[in-house]
Amino acid sequence: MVFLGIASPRLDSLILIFIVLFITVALLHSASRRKTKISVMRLGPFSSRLRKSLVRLNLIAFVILIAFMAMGVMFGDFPIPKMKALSTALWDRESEFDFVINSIRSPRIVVAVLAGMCLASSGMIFQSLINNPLVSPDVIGVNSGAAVCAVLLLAAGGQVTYLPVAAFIGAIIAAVGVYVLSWKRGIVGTRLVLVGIGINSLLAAVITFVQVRYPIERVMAAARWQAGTVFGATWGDARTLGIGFLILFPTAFVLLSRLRILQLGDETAAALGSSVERDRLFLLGTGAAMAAVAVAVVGPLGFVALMVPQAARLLVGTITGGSYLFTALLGGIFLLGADLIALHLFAPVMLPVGVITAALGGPYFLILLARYNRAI
Amino acid sequence: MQSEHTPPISFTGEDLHISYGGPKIIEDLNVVIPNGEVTAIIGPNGCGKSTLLKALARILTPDKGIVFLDGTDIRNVPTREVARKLGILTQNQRAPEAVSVYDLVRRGRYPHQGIFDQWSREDENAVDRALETTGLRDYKEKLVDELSGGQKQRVWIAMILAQDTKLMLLDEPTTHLDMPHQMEILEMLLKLSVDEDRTVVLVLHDINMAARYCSNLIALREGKILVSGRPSEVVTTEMVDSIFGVKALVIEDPVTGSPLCIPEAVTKNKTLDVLE
Repeated sequence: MVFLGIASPRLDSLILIFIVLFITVALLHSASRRKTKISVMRLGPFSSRLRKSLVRLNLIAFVILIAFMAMGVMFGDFPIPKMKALSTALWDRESEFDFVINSIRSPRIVVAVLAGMCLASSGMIFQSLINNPLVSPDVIGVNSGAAVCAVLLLAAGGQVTYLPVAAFIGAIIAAVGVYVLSWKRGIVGTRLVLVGIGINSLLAAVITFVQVRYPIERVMAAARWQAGTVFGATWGDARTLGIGFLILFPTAFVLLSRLRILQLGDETAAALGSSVERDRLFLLGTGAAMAAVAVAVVGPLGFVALMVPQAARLLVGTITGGSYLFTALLGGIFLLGADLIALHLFAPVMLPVGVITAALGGPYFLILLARYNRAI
Repeated sequence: MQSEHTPPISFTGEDLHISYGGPKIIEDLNVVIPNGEVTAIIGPNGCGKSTLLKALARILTPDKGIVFLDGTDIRNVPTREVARKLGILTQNQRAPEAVSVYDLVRRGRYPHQGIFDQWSREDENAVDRALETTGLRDYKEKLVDELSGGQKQRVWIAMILAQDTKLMLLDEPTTHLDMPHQMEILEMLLKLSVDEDRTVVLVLHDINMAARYCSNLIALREGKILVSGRPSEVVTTEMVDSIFGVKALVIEDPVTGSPLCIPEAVTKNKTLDVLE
């Protein structure tokens, strides 16, 4: 009873979160199973085919994402009346809770959503491009490259403020390195993956070496970032991610038609008039940059980029503009949902969200595999 | 489709030399593809049939020699522009995961589309027609993974039909198919050539199918054209022996009047030695 007494203030919000998560999964599943109807939208050069079920699914995902964001504002460590919390976030700048809501909770929510969207879109690009559902940006070294530079920066006594910059640079260097080493008269998916695995183990060794070699107090600061967390996210982080997202997300959207062709294999793509190597380089670059931006801010969160695109594909099928958008929304929902759980599951102890994504991701992944065993 | 109104396309390869960085696969080869006809490239395994087809379709760059499409070096034409005139279906296609028939076939419209994934009425009509021709209209929302081998092959053919090109190159479109499906596909390609004046180039294994459905045969051996021309000129006892190393009886097909080859025995032939 004593235990319940301590836990009860948070228990209601925790239960609510789980109910909402359950409804989300149920809704997305049922919505994806309806029969498809297609309508064609004709707007000159922007004419496109719309699958009605996909449009509906995107709307549902969007509503769920907004609902999650509202929940993120309403629930937290600091007791604030729920409606008051919402009004503070939306319009009431004079509120006494302004600091908690608008400087702590809101930026954190925005960062979680944007990072989730970036990681999921990036994962989708990589998986489709390499035609392997188990590939994600971390395979080609984005995460470990970011981690090495972050750890090196801190070990050398650098400021934590520069950590995202260092991480971004590290991620891009690693991705470029893997790409260059895999190049042999073109890029073959399997070679890219194998070289990526090699580079990843090498970088992991470097990280371990630095951690052992340098004073623990310095290096420990990187440990929390390395687990992947949106804890303490600021509006500055949100802005970094936002700018990256606004540039890269539309870029990838424009490249989607090329991705759909590259998916058919190099020869068929070349036959259809695709400039295979150029298009692939564009797509890999965009995908790597998208993951790098996210990892730079929230740390190396591996599971999101691997799992969310898988789940999205099982729900909506192969890549189109609509499924790309859906994948991104699902990424936002997933990371924000995971963060809400991370905040409340062992409250007042807050877990890094990376622990939750891994713990949630694994079983969910297995369930999906079991349900749709034809997919892989 | 605008294909009926476009002028004929000339398509030739001159002085082609091809190797994959190793021994020569194709050597000093000159070829002219007759316009508006169905041409089959025949020959034993490893003679360079597929390699020649890929080189003609600019998927493979020859070490030496030029492929001319409409009198222009194919490498000097933007690849998308080539793809509006020339479609090729290579062997061993693998569909992406969870893709529907319609979605796959409509990707054949890529060379006709702009930077955004636009979808014009012309695109829609071309895809509908391709599905109609290949008899896949009722399957368009099915997943490609769920189809049989013959249906899958038809989906890929539908994709290059949707590409709506004057020139269609297909590498063994009938392998792994049973007899009725083989005939269906070859009849369809013949009809496209006759009705819409398209030029079709096939790589075929079955010399009798080739003689029956194609008006022009090109026989390859060890990377060189041994003989080319009408089936009656190519499919003779002597030629079958020198192309395949098979002693055969050639008679007139009682159904179509085309030559029919009845193999008797494998003769000692150096082509086979090279392969071992």
